[in-house]
Amino acid sequence: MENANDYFNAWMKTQSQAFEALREQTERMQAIFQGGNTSAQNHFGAWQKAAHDALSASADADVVKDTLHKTFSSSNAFQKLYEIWQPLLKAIQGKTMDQDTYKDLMDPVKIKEMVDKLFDFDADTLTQLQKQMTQFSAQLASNAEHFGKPWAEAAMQNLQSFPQFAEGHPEALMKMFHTLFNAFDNTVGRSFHVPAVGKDREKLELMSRCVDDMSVYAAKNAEYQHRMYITALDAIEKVMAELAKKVEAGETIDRFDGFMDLWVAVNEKTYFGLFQTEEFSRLKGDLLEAGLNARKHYFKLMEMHLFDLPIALRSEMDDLYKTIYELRKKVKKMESQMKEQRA
Amino acid sequence: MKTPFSTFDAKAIMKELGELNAKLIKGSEFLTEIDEIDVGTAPKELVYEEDKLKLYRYHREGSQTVGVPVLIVYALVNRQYMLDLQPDRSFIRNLLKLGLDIYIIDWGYPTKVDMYLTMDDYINGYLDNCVDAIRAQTKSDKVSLMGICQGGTFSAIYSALHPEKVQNLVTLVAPIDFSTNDGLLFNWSKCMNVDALVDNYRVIPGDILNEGFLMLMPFNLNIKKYIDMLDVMEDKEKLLNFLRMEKWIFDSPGQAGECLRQFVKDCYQANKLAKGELKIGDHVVDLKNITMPLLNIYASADHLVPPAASKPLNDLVGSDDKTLYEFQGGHIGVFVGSRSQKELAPTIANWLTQRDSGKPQKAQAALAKKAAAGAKVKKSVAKALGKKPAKAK
Repeated sequence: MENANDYFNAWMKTQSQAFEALREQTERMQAIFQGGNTSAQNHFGAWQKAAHDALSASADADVVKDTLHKTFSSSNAFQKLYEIWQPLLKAIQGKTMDQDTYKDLMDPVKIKEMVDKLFDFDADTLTQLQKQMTQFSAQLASNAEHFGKPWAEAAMQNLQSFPQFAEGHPEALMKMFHTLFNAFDNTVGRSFHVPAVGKDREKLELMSRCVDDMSVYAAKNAEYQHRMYITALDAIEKVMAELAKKVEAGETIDRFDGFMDLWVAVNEKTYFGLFQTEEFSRLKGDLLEAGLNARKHYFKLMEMHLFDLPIALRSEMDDLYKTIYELRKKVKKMESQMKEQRA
Repeated sequence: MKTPFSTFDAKAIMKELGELNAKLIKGSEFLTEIDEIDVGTAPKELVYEEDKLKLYRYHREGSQTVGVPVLIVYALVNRQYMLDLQPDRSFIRNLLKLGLDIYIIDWGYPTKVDMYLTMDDYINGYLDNCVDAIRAQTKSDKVSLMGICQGGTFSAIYSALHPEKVQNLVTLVAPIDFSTNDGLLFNWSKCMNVDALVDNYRVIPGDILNEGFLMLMPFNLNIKKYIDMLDVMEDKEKLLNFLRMEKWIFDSPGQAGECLRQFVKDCYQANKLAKGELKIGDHVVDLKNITMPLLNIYASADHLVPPAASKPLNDLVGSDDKTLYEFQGGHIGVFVGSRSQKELAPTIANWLTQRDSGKPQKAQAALAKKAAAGAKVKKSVAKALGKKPAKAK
């Protein structure tokens, strides 16, 4: 499976280069604002999903709707599986396949699509990151008119150059530096009036930290996805080995769903092998933590932005919940004491 | 190279894919005709409530054969109606038919106002109050606890802290010894930063936990299950049963942060319960305080709570009368599988009946005799009883 391996390794390399560049950019920004380097991360996908689900009513109509959606998705996966295996099965039918050439018959793009769908990897990490960065920058621009706006504009422009940069266009890199320089010139370079302490400075530090969080999360997520893709390739080899065994035993598979049963069983076993390793547990734990760190800083930033508005903030609500919890306990204790006294 | 696909040609595949699409279109029609997915239909009445918790007592048509009421304590992570998912496969209805007086806790759906609830609040607060409410209503000094999954862990802790209120303890697929690496959830939990999770969410959405459950068998649970379902869609009853299970699987309450924090840190990560170091409220939980009769049921093919996590309870308690029972099946099959309907409820009811009449030794002998009769399933009972007979302390 060398071709597919090459494809996934190249994909991983592109991801790594891109978020390394992003991290460097963030570090430079951080060096200006806080003179140091920090790291953290983001879990927006899970959060957005949970938020969306929390908004949906839990009526039976939703169960039916969800089931229908999952059934369509599964049917789609079934057909995708056919697309992936079709050239290979054709070669088997035509008796033109041998152990060395079957690797060329698999399309790694289709394999990736299948794994993405199965494990809910909506899109490439970089695309997601880019989207989040764009939203973030827009928010930054609207909330920090004077100081943040040039940086936000620079970030927006850089994001537009990002795909070309990721594909190795040096002029895109130059453009990124140029826009960053302009931003610097319009803010720090012009006035050197960054507040030493206070809410504004804290906000700026937190903003750059959020950007850093996202890049660290993107890096971890890329590592996680890469592991999943490589395991998919491993499973394909194992499916081939199982088919070879059947050939030797003179067995037949008459229908495609029979093949699917074999494919499911082999994949389940192969992924279980990955999932039960300590290394995977650690990676999964790191990914979650990376997402949670970013989410934490993002919420903190939002609170800072919303501070002056006449609304209850999350931390204030937490205090209120704590008070309610403690009062409830006191009332229950007193009720129980009264009951005992009466008895 | 010989082909294994002698009758597996492109034409046949296209025909098969066409059939699949036809089934899908037809199935969609059937799905949209479903108005209501009824679950938990066994008649019951609300007898106690506190905050979001509700305590129900089931109506029984026949006579009561066991004097001591039974309180079912389900896990916090899923809904208790799984025990009464469909009328013809209802663990609850089976227990009622066998003459048990059944109560069940519905923990409700925690919201952010519940984020500070701890294990102490659930066990020494809500659970204890339910036990007291049942004792008051039935005029019984004690209740029998039947704890399921995490509810089994809570029931064991409760029984160790309040042995004077518990007549019998029945645990089903309950994790007690968390040191095992047999289950993926046990492995993954050990590397999870639960502080970051709780500090972020306060009440952890059920979807986050469900994602972990689905990853245990991603290909079966995300693809194959739905493809297989297409074959039964035309049968309305089978389709409804499928939807009932779907409804239950994805009806996952959020988890009160502080409770989950302690459960993961102290149990999954530090294994404090089995080590005798778990502190609930002001008290350290000593499982040796469990001196009442114990029936510990585990599932041989349980991928959520592996046998290695459940079985050690029998060695950790102080009971003289203790039975370890192997059910041959998985975690969910214990309650909704067709075999479990014939096997499990009668086993539990007999075990409780015999202890109610003060004949536990006779009961064990009867179980062993039955097991020796030869049925494969029952063989496990003999094995359990033969290898781990009740020892006098």
